[in-house]
Amino acid sequence: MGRPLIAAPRRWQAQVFVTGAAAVVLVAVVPPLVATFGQITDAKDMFAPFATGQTWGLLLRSLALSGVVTVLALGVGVPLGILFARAQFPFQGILLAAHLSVFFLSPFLPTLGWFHLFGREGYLGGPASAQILFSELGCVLALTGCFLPAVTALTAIGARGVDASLEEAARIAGGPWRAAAFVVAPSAAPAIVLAGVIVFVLAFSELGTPMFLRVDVYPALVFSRLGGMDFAPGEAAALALPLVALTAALAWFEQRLAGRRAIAALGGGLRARAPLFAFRPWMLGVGLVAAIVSIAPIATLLFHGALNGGFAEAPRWIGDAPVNTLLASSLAAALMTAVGVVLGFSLAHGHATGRWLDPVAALAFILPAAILGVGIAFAWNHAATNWLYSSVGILVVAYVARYSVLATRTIAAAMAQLPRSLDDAARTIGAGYLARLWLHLGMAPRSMFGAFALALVFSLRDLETAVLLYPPGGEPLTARIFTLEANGPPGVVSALAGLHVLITFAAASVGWLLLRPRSGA
Amino acid sequence: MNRRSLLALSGAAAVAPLGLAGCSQSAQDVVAYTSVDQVFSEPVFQAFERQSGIRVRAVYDTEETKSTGVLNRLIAEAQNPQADVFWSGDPVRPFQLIRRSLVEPYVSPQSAGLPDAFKAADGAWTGFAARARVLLVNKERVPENETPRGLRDLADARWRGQTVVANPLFGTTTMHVAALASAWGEEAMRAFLTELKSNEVRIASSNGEVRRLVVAGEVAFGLTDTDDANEALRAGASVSVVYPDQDDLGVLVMPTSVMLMRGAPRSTTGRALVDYLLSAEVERQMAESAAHMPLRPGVPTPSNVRPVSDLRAMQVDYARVADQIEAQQDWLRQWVGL
Repeated sequence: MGRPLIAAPRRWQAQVFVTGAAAVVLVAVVPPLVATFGQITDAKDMFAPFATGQTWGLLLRSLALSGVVTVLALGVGVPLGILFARAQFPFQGILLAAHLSVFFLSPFLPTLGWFHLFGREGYLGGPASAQILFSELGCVLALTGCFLPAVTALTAIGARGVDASLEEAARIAGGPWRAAAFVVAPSAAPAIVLAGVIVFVLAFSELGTPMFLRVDVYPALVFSRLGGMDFAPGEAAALALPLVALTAALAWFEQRLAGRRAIAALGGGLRARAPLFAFRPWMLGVGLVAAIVSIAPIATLLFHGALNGGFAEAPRWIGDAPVNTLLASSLAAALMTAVGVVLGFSLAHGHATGRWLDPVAALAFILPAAILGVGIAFAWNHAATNWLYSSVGILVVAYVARYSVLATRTIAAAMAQLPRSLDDAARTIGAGYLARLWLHLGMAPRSMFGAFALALVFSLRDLETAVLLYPPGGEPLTARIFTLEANGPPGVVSALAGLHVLITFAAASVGWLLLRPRSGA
Repeated sequence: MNRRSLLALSGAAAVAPLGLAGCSQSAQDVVAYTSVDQVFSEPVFQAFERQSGIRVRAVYDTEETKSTGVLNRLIAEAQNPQADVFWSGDPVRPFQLIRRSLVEPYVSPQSAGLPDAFKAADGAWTGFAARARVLLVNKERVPENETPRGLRDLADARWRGQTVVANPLFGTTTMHVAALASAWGEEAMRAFLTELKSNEVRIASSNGEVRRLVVAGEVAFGLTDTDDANEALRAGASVSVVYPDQDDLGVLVMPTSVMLMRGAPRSTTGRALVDYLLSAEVERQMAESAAHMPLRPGVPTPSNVRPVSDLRAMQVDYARVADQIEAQQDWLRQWVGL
């Protein structure tokens, strides 16, 4: 290992960029957290919610439900991600896009699609299917279907970043299956663990689907303190305290599983490589099933919308919501990506700023969205900051607060796959901070798009945070769909959900055009 | 991706909130928060915009939190009010705001034609365009001669596991439970809800979901609001609507209500919107689009609902019901399991 040779005049680069990125995250995340937990004003707020076994029972129930969803999603999504990334079969791109599409929607909408399909009077439904749907099992299956694409996508990104020469050597020595099991999957471990954490957190904090399927969960307990008649933000904040412990547990778990260095890679994606698996007909079958499971609830919604004249009515009801959504989400995603590049680099190299900032941002992601939303309202609704609070800019703040950890982690996971010797070499020859940062981005070219896409999709599909604080007249599309859900014209909710998927695809495509790796890069 | 793109991306992201802030408000506008379904309230706001030239920037409630989501936002924003007008889906929520001194009394000239029972003398709130709490019955699952007649049928063992009510922690069901406590006494209300639980009544997340479950035949009948019932009828569902307890307690009638917010940043345009909402024109529009029952004499009642004057209505003191709502929350949470 060479001696660090950062020239003194370039040290400012790291200081300026890291401080700036950290400031963005801190300004977005810390004031709402302080405002939220500052609502706990007395011992009653603190202890009363935990005095009953009901609270602990719901907490354990939610942990179990999220755990099962995570295990199922990982069990199916990891092989699927490797298949999509390292095999070659007809219509692969289309099938992957179809499979990912369900993740673009807030889970309540696909669940509504399943209801139209398997409810008692659904297109394929009857009493038995309705009984399964409205049960813990139905809730687990619905949530797994919604979150599975996150595992597939992140595993695929990780699998594509694996050192081509190592993969090729393993394939020659042990065949494609052993190469996938012992080289590709372990190399993609940081991305896979990240996917597991994301799915667990999303499943744990999900409110709409369990409420619709009449499954009691912990977030509903928190929400009852904020959405009920006795507005009790102090009690809601106290109920969120166990989630601080959960954040610490997840951070420890992730560190245990993915903290050690992954197998050294030399920058996957830098050059084209042969697929690991040659085409077999069953691959097409698996791809089709994955696509159909995701598309089925959306197609049902679209069919329901078309059947009930929803698309004809949609222009009348959609308003400015797509513009509000796209504006706030794309700007937030761009900001999160820019911040994520700096902090992801810092986190991947174990720098102090990245390490202490990461759990703070993770806590904002894990907290029930309603808690964060109310915290943002308390923190930003002042005369001095009214210019921001009363504008669509508050949605940008909310999205950055909630989802910045995802962009940072995505880039950190990709950079963690790169060999440390690369950075050592760069430092040895005196490369400055920006040059090293650029070098790492060049070696993990898809990570930026991955981070942008993830941040964008999460912002676009966000409902629970935005619905509590969107500015008057500035509602995002998700909020509009849900507020119209009450007595809206038949099919309009379904039609708007379909449009939401199309808008997300369009936005992600534009992001791809802007951020895709250039040929020869 | 090149350096120029990255710099452009970072720059755009950095200045975004400033740019967005600049285009958020116009000179002639009013901010209205409402827990009346968006599908009904938005066309009313649009008509006001056309008539007055004042832009309405609205915040709507979701079905799940109705009406408490927007109400709690009003409370959370009390230190720096954003809203000028609150149009509530019921007459009880206003008291949560009145007690916190968040309401500016305003006697609108348009309120003169409305009954005294549905408005505050000092103008703190004014009610119009009402709904009622009804039983929505799936005719495929319930023979005509077994059609329920009152709320107590929800607890009848014959319908075990086949009925549904919305979560009483939210929405109009909160008010209904409190009104029952006022009418029957708290113990009787608790006993009734305990009977419902024993009878395995389902708890839906909203009145809209009650409608969906009844229409889909997931349950035989459920307790919901007239506007939800009307949507089922309009969609041609095989359902009937029962106004409960017409020989006994009476049906709960809930006018929507409007109030001006204290410290409203745009109080002049706020008053103009309040005046417009209380006009006969809006009651007519709400009757036609949302099957709300007009309270003003002379406005025709829509075909799918019955006129308020033909109903035996529960005798309700809305202020007392508001008190009861706050008192019953802890017990209700335990009943719901939250």
